[in-house]
Amino acid sequence: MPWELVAVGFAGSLHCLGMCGGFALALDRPSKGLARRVLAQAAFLLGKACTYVLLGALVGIAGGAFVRSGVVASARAVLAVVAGTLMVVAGLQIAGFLRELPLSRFFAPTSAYGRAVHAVAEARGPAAPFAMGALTGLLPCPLVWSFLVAALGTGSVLAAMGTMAVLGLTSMPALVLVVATGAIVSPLVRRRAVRVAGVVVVLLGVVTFLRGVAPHLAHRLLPHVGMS
Amino acid sequence: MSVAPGPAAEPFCDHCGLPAGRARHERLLDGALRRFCCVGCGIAWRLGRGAGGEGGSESASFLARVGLGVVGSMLVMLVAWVPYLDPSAATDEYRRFAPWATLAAATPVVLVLGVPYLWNAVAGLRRGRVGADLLVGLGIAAAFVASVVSLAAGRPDALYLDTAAGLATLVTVGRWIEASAKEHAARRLRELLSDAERPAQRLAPGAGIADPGRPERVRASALAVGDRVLVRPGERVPADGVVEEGRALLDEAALTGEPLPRAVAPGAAVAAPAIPTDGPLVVRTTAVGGDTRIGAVAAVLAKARAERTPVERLADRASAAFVPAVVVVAAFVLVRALLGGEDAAAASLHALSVLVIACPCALGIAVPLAVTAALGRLAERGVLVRSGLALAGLPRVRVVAFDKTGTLTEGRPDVERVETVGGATPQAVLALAAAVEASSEHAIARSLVAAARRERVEVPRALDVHVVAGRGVEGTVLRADGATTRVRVGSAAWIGGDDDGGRTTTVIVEADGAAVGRVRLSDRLRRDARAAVDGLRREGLSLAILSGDAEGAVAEAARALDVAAPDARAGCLPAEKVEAVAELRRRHAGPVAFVGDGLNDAPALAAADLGIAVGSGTDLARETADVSLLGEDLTRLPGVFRVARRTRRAALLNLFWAFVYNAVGVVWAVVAPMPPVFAALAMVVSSLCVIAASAHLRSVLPDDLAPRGPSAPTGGVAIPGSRPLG
Repeated sequence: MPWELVAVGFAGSLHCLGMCGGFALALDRPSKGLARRVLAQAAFLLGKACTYVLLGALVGIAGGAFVRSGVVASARAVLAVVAGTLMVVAGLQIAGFLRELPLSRFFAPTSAYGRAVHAVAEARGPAAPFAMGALTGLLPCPLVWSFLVAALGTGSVLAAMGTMAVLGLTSMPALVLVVATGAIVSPLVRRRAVRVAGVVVVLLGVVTFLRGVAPHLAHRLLPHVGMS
Repeated sequence: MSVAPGPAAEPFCDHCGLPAGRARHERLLDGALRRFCCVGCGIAWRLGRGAGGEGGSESASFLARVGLGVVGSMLVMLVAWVPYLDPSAATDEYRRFAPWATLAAATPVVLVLGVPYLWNAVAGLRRGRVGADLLVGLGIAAAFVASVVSLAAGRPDALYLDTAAGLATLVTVGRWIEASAKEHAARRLRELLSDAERPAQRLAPGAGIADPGRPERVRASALAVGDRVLVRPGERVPADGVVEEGRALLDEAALTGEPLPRAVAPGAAVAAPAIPTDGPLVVRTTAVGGDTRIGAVAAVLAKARAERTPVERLADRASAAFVPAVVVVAAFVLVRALLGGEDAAAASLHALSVLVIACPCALGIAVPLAVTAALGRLAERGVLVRSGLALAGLPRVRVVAFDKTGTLTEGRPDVERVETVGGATPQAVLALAAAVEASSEHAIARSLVAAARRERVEVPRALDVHVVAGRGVEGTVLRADGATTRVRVGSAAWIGGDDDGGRTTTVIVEADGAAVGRVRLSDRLRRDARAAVDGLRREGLSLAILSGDAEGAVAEAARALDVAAPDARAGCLPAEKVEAVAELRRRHAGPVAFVGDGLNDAPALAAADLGIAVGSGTDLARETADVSLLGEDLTRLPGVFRVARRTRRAALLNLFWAFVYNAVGVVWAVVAPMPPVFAALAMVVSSLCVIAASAHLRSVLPDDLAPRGPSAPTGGVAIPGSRPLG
């Protein structure tokens, strides 16, 4: 079990609160019975986790294919270097030292994504919260990206899916808390937690990078990171 | 996603509370500037405010199910593929775990997506109806139950969970496409209506264009009747109202399809969502929200889509016969395979593929899609077809009968010429007539005054004016030299003089007891009447004129438009127009369309096989017309018939191909076993073909409804014999 990722997931989920928490709250219908509300939130979180796992499978397939193709003899090392570099970038973004990528037009209200979100927000039935969760999982979030590059670095489909499942699971408690208490943890606390998560991701990125160029040193630093 | 932290004054995201940073997104929402750190927060904020839209739509619910279905089906497929994608993962442990993972992923899909089909099928059966839902429901249930049974029996090799989940997902994709295509027709209008959610600028009392103060930004839907709003150039008029201040060219294409902007000044009525193009307006609202003209349009369109056309009923009958037949065929396939010694699993799969490929989904959407495409295209051009039934009726029309006054003609008398008696000049005669008529509101009075103004005739003052009902006006005119003249202006019957048999309206002008001139007024043909009539002829339609006017005036118009004598009837009272329509129907042995201005022609519009109202969208909600031309442009008429004809052809063709496709599919599935998921895919492809055909129809429908051929409407069409005043 990559405990470092679990830690990043928990700390980073305080960041999710602001954004994904809004989606979760938007789905909540206080007029409905408790059981329905709990089921809806469970479906939402499940949908998000499923998207993460599917995304993980995609990068896992890519990474695994690259490793098995034999094009580069040290394919795993190359993957580790690429993943490590990207993780550092994503970690800096999470911590707030780098600007967000200009992706807004892909997620603007008039884009296919924005229209789908608005449609699903209006939809009724048990599929709606799940679908909303699945869409939320696609939002451009550096935390997701850092997990995805970690998943890429594993070079294996199952391990990649597992890495992303960690993200899906660790982000659940915070979101449940938000909906249950209706309160979002103070921005100040969240900003600090997010910065810690970012720094941890940067460090993980450095270690992953080192695993590509200097495996022994990396192993001594952090034996579990990105293990396939 | 926070961005680099800045100084203390840095704004925070309005949604998540993290620093918004320099790359923030700023949006004007609910009348205030909101800052968000990222796109997601912007979306989430609006969702939280419930400003998402106008309530759940059918397609939205299908889309949510599609989301669940796609994710679930992908997970199911993934579980099956992992051993191939990653050989190191193909352990025994994985093989034991895989069937249960598949079941976990497939079950929600089957329950949420599949079960509703079964419920619908059961509800349909109770009412004695057999629909496509039965095939789909049976297929999904059979595949799922068979899988669960074999899993429980410890035979994880006979799993059709991918079939069950894939089938449910693909069918739901088809339903989603169908639902969103149905909603597409009204989309443009909904966009216009959603402008009701855009901010309007309400002015404080006393504020005007010169000094607008700080207009209050409110949603258009929050406006009340009597509010004063400021509309800047390029903004949309938020509600129907009257211009109180400002002059502008108003672009009304969104409502009427009229391409040319109209000049408006204080006092003019304006309707949402018109756009002033060159100057600001202050509008006092008279109708808001659903009471506006565009609101009435949307209501009519919503109703139009709900009605079923004859071709649709044909499709219903076809699928009602088709579904039981397919169930029988599938049962036959199952029994034959079992008797033939085939494995029960293989036999049921074979039967399943027959059930699935036969789903007559494409059959169900073949016609509505073509109809909605046409309704949408016509609505864009300001032609409102009240129902799919009306659209289906258009191609059968043989005769188009026109009301004359106000439909083919301008609807108001215009001074055609002034004839003088004795030594008076035409200008002097017009001056006298205009002087006594100046204060009158009668149509003839107004055109006399307008003619005087047009001819730059100095109109003297008149005293002691009074109206003699039904006859004319008399009064005393103060001449420039101080003398007074007793003037009477009125009909020949009152004053004495000749008439010209009703071709024109003649007004006699008498000064001090002696006739000094005659003013002939006629109702001119509209500029586009000739082009419209020629266009309709090219569409193979016969033309008729039914008018309440005098013989002479109708004959004049009939001559100008080449309408033969028996088809041009004068002096018809509203009830006689109804008889005339029936007579036309008999003589031409075909349905009659009546084109009127929708006010005095209501009986004829209702009596005709197809009523077409021109102009005045104000009475839209209570009009009896099947088709309403918003705005004045008559030249759109031939295009309406052309669109209807193409739509009918496309609908029948869609229906034919959908039927052939399904029939071929069934035969194929019976003869050559195929995996049920392929059958489901084939079914979705057939739906997509129909949708593509309808999209194509939309693109080939004439964009411009102007008539084909060289005679584009240019210049006015003058009635022979008319000449300018002088």
